[in-house]
Amino acid sequence: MVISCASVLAILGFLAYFALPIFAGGHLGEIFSWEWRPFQGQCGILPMAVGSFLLAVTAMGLAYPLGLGICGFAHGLGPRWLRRPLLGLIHFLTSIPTVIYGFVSVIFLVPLVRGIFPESTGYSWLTAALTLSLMVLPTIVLLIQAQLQQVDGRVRLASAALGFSPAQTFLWVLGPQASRGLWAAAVLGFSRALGDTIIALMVAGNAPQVPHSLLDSIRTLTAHIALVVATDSTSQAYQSIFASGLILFMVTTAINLTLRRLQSGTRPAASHD
Amino acid sequence: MEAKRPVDLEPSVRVEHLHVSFGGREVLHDLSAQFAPGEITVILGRSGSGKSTFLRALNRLNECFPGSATRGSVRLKLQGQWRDIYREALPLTELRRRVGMVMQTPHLLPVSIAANLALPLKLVLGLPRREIPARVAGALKEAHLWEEVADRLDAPAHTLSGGQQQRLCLARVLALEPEILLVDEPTASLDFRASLKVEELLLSLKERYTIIAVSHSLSQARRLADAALIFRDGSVAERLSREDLQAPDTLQALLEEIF
Repeated sequence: MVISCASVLAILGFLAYFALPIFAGGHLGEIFSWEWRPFQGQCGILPMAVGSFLLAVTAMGLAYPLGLGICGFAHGLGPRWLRRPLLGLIHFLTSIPTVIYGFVSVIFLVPLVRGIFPESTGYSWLTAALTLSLMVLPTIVLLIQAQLQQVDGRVRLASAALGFSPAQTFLWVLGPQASRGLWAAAVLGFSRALGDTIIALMVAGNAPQVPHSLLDSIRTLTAHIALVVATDSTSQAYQSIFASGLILFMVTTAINLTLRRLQSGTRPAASHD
Repeated sequence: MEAKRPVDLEPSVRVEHLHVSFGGREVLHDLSAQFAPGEITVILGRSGSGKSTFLRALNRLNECFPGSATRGSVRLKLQGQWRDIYREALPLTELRRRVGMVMQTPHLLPVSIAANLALPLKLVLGLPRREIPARVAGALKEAHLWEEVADRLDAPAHTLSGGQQQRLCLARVLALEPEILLVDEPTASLDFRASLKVEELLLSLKERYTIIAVSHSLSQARRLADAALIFRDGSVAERLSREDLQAPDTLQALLEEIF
């Protein structure tokens, strides 16, 4: 506990220390601006912040309903025999390294998107969102699933005996019981989508711009850090990564705190004996 | 007192050659029985003799357990019509609404006292919102629970005592206006006083329903039953009338048979 708190504080201190020149040196306006032209001294990271946000939201927008659907399918909406293979597949997805998702996406999805939308290079917000949604899907499913499994078996039996259909049981009885899991899955899924680096780096195209359509290329804060670290180490552009890091750190910390609040919230009245 | 004799009554439940198995292991073998309306039939037998499985065969709840398979015929008289529940396409929701079940331990929905009744009324009967409170109150009164809970209808249902919870489950079933009541050891988890209340309630209801109750207690069977079925190894070993149950020599034989 002490060690983890200390390391979190150390990271915060480190980021703040390196980001300090930006704040102290009056470069704040340059960093928090919309133009990324480092050779002309414009090092705005706002397009990347927007890119990160948009990508995380769209990936979640795809993955969350799908995850919820899979959980519903596994809990009564689908045939019982399919439940094990389906959840087995989801477990398997967790064990695949993220880079493999990116790699497979570059080989299959990028040409596919390019083929369907010839005006796009295929390296786009859409491609990254699709790939990322698959990557965060297991997180969502497993969190909701864990919560659903805790629901007392008698509750299910009571619902069935009263004549509820499986869909009604899921919607009206199991869902409300698993509400904390539903929130946790949303928060943690978003956090994972926001924190992902490699998929964004490999398939989003990395153009530092605010996209106008799903087919535009985008750059996320995480990919931005990776790119700048790999190419530069002195200029103001380099300093921009500390600001990026600080933003990411603060957002993910906020998400974690939200999650803690959810977890420490009062338990729903599931079991009573 | 005019005791109605089972033979005089047209049955409302006919079970013929019923076989139920789970994962290939047969729990009920070639079971045939019939049950009449306006009566309480108590099913007695050792644990594992298939009593609960039999009850669950009547509302097809065995299908909620993995690997269940059912053969044979179960015909129920619902709204004056004979329905073969395993052959006809009678929707499960409709069947389970007409054949209400109260389980061994209170199976509450994790919501408030009122919502435990209101939710099935809304989802299963599709009752308009404005009609629900009256129906909830009516069912709670029928289950002799209204006075105890009227001032805390919005409290979580699990805050009730065990006996109250069981009567709440019964009220929830009654609210759906079933025709047949399946009651699986309803007093197994209750103390003597709470058990008596549930028994009184069942006796007061029997005129209007076909009641089939599983019991583990012979004295309870003697208090409740118009007829009793003794289950042994998944089929009916014996059928007893109310008079048989009261006779001391039958009692001795039963004690040895069952316990």
